[in-house]
Amino acid sequence: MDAARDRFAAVGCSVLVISQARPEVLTLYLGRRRWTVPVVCDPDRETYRAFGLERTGWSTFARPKVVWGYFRKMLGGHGVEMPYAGEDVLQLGGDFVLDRRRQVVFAYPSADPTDRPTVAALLEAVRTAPSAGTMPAEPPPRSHPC
Amino acid sequence: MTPGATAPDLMFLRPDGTAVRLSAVLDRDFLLLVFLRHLA
Repeated sequence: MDAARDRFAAVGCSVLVISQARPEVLTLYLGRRRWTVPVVCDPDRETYRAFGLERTGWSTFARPKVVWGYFRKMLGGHGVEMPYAGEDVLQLGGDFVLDRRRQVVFAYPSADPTDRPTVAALLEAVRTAPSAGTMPAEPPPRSHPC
Repeated sequence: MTPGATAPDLMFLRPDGTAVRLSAVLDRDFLLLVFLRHLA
């Protein structure tokens, strides 16, 4: 997502990444990895709940789709790392696009730990998003993680 | 939160621990919020 920041900026979209880590943990993390998009946190996960992001169960990790999702990430050079202190591994993520009035024009709550929309799908959602106050865009079909 | 709904002006914490409202980061026509599962 960090690498795609300029592509989102080109279509008039800022990016804000939200972590459930505590501020001091996030500071340590960002000290080791340079991100060009702003990263904030919500260790109480109130915003996660406000956006309807659910916690999954342990059995989810045994689903073939999820196992394959992690395997595919490893093939792409992304290791599976342990969560940081305070992070709830069962908490699911999600991607939302808001307009200037904070109206949701695109919503993609993850259905499982590996379920994320592609960058291309997110960019398309922004490009086709209605102006503030009109009908929202349809979500894309579930696909590969970004 | 589904399309068409208006998000509350929620509060986040910056890495330095200071608070920031959602409305304060809406500096373009659109804002993509990426809720991470974890940092790893």
